Amino acid sequence: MRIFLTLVKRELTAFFLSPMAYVFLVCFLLMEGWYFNALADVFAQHPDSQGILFSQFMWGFTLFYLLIIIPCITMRLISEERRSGTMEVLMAAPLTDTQMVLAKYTGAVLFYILLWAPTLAYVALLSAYGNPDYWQIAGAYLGVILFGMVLLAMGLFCSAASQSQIAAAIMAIALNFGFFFLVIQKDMGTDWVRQELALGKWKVPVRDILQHIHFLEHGEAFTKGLVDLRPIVFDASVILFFLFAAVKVTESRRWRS
Amino acid sequence: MVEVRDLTKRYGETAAVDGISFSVEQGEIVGFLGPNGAGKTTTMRILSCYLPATSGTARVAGYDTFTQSIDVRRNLGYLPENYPFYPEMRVAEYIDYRAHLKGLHARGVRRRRLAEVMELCWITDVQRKPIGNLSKGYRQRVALAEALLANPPLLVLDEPTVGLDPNQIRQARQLIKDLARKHTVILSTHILPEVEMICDRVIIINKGRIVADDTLKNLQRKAREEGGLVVETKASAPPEEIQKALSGIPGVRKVWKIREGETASFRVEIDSQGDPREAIWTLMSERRWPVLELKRDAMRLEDIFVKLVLETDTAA
Repeated sequence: MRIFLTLVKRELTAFFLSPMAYVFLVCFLLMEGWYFNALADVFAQHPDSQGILFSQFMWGFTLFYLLIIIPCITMRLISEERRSGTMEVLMAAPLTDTQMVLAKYTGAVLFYILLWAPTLAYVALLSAYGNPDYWQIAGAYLGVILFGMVLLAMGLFCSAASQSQIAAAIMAIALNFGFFFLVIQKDMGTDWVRQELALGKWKVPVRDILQHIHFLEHGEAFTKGLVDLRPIVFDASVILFFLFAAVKVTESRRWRS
Repeated sequence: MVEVRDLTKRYGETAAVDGISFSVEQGEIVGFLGPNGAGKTTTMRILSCYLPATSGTARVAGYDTFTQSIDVRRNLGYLPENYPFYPEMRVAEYIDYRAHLKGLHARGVRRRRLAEVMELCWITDVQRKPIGNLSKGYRQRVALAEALLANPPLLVLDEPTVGLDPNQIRQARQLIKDLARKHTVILSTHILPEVEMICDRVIIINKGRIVADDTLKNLQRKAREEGGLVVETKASAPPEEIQKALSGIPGVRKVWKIREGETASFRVEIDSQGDPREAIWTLMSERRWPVLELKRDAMRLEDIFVKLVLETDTAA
């Protein structure tokens, strides 16, 4: 456990020892600031709907940059260690591949939460000028953090599977958008989605399946304060699956020739 | 301390290590010698548990490198070739980080050990510098300090002196020699004088196979035997006559003429036991053939090495 904490600490310092962390923070805050400002302008004219301002803020446009920013956070995690050879030294210490992968993931998640931390200032603003629903805001944060954790796990897997940071980033972005376009088919209303897909005597309820894995809608529900256990279980399984895959890919140097 | 049995590692079709077996006893300091690409680094990576063997077993301190790799790694300090660093970390910070990973958690113990290894490897004065800014020599010393951290019973050093200047090489060799009192050391290199200076035992490896595994003393004796004597004289008699006279001396196997002219030189092959130098000198002075030079032409370890490597190359 102490070894794990040492690794997590090292991951976090690695973010802040490179200019990367500051670039992320500044860009993210600029975009968030601009977006919040724009939304606040709109909602100022519609006092009745101010309740959904925060929901819109956390889940509207922000989503798109998360699909890109998160692969940029995860791309170097494992691929860089492999390319620069530091993996050999790292793994010469008495620690397991699982410890290493989980520590990298934890470090990335903490960094991601840190990206969001400054937006708490907006909550302060809202409470100064209005009367926000704090439970709803907490739900919104839970939603974006869960959503981020899913993308971070997918990104980490891509980083483990690749020796090049750029390849890892592109793989992760493709995976994110692939998933994104898959689930939004639900509302596209194409025929094969609306009707059940017949495979022999089996009828596949495509729409229902998409509904269940629609991580965007899950997140949106959270931002409205509707916290449900089912999406949490779904997200957790996706995270576990990709972390498991990342560990296996890292271990593969042991049996691959 | 180390038990390697029929170890084979294949990368696709080619076998980097091809069925090698050797063992290293506690307290030994073994030189792992071979040309580039002989399989030294692969063997060391297997010992450090970074790579698995294709077949065969390797045990360190009684633990199997494949099934008990964590225990192996607790007992082993590994210095890979071209030790890769995180360039942005500072020296002391990096060593502290590695100490935590190696289980030195108690603050007091860790601080003391950090100061000790930094002192031992002469890096105390650069401890606040980022590793990326250090010269190759300093980096190598940081790497060595890191390998020593947990005071492991076995040290595996892959080409530890590469990239150091001559003065640093001397210091590093002395340091490794001193370490050998407390640690078992396996050291890979392709620099022969290094082995002659540091090691008790030499394992010569070529094309993934062991071609010699002997004490340094035995190898040096072998080198001496395969050498011989060189005699140079003023040509006051026909060289053939001198050659014949020399051949008659007991203990001399064969005499080769290597140069004639104003002075003549001969190579004298001798039996391994005897030393006919005195007899040669007496004979020459009796015949009034002035001896200009009489010396042992010992084959150096290098010649033995080249010979063994060439033999296996042509056999393959």
